Amino acid sequence: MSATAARPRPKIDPINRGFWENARAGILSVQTCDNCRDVHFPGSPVCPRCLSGDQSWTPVSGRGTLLSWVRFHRAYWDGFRAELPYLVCLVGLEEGPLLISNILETDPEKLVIGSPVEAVFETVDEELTLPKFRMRG
Amino acid sequence: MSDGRQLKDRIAIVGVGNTRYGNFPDTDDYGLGAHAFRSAIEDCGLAKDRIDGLLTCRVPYYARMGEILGLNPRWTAAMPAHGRMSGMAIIEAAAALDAGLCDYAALIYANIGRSRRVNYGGDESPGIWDPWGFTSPGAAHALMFQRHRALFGTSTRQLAEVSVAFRHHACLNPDAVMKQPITIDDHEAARPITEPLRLLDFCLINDGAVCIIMTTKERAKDLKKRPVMISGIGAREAYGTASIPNFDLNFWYDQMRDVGTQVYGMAGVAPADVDAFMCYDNFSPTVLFSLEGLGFCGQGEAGSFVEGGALKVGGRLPTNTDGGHLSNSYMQGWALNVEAVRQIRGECGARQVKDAEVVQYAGATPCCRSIIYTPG
Amino acid sequence: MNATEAKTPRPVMGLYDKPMWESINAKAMRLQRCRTCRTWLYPPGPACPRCLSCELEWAPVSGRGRVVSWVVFHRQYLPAYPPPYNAISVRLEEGPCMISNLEGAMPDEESIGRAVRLVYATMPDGMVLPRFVLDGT
Repeated sequence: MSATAARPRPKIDPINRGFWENARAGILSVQTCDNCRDVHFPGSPVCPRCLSGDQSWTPVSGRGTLLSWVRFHRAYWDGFRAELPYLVCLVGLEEGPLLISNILETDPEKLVIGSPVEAVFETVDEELTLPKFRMRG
Repeated sequence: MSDGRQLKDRIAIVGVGNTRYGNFPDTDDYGLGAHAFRSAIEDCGLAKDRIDGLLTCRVPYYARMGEILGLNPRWTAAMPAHGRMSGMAIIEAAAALDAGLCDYAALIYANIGRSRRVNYGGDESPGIWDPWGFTSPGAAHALMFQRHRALFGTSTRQLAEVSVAFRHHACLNPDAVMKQPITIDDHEAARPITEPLRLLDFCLINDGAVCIIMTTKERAKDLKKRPVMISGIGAREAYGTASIPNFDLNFWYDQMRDVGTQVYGMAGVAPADVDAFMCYDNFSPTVLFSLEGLGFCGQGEAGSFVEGGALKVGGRLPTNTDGGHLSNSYMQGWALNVEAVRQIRGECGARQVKDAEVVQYAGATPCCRSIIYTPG
Repeated sequence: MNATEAKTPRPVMGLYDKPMWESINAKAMRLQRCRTCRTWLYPPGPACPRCLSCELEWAPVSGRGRVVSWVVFHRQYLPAYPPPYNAISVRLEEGPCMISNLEGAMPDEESIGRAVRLVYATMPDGMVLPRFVLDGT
């Protein structure tokens, strides 16, 4: 998908800033609790397991499993109209957390649920890089 | 110690009312709410000044609703515009009535989403997955159905049975918005929205309002109609993946199992005893998930369970006999609870389930709820 | 921006409010009255709060009322209203209570219970507002 101004952009806040900074450097990361090592996504102000406020964005392998996918035939934003129909995937990372993203694949027949996938990075502009996924192997 | 089971058969629904359903730009939430309230008050024959509990849902300001209706209750609760709230609201009101916080509660739900052009996606409901183009609750259900299809072989033709049965019921319901019968082939040919889901898997978006009047068993005896008792309740939330709204990786199966254990245990019935089933159906897949979680069939078996018109009146499990959200009205569960009451009262005309005595409401959502109604 | 240039805050125009503001513009304020039980409504609404009837008619008000209470604003919230300015609550003869302003004098300890009558103030931007003066002035 090419970048257009009308696409929705992430709302960067103090909690998720690390995730988006890492993405710009081509690194996929999840929030890790410094106290109990719980990993989760999206980021939260306290660890959902032990409630510690000390957390870091730590790199993950970028490998995961295709858990599901959906193909959008309706443009909920004008910025996506030219891309219809476009594919959105649900990925379970090796490390545990779930992510919603896009899968770089045009043939839905190949999107077998349970297949291995890996992260790739799409530079939208100077400020924004979106982690996406492709089929692995 | 007390628990929710003590509520068994102590609280009754004594009045129900609804507006017409459609596109009403000339009125608003309060106007629709007032109509539904008046209709429910007439239904039970109670003087409106006896109402001392007010619960509003999707109404902008509960106090303005009270001002408009001339009510100054001693118990008030307000619920947001989420579909999962109807079952929660009825259970909360039952607990408040049982605790003596009020004697007669009016629960008012109003929705003006149609005339105000609500989209349920895009900029109207910003979310963290927007940069990837993922939005709308329908897409979350599409993700779930896609997995169900992959794991259990459920087909879209099986999914179509849900929409077809509910449309059949809508054609028998004078209040319903959708009146044209549909076939499985119509479902398969409908415009895709969030593939694998198509237009006919999506709920309607329409205006309307619903009101339910509840009181205690003792007080219910003095009112116009035979009371309908709340005989069982069950509840369990699934907040673990709330960042993907309206989604659960395992189809809310564990939560609905828990809800089923609670609701059937309290009511002293089993799924086989249910005469009619009112199932929250914002999108058709959740009906399959509800049937499996509650144990009407095993996990993965709902596709074959619903085949051959099983959900139609006269079928194996008459479900959403008013047409549900898919074909009657998008009253976010409220109209389904009203339909449960009317089925038990025998007021449903052409869509009446013969001798309906055990009617179950259930919603598989991030807040799973079920209520079993029986005659008082 | 001074108060003479600032735009008077627009009324919230709900579904039922338009006839009332039209009557104010025509300097003959009308309110809804229930045809069934004769109860007057303010603000405008869909149904009679006394008997729930939806048979409502628009009828002219007498313009007479009494001050229920008052407040003087010493903080500027709105460009069109530099402090100090007053707001009063008036119980109309017909029953409803409305919020307005007292013209001609600032309210004081003696104001509560005083008879007032309706006047129509034309704001610098042309908007007409129903306001009140002490009766007999």
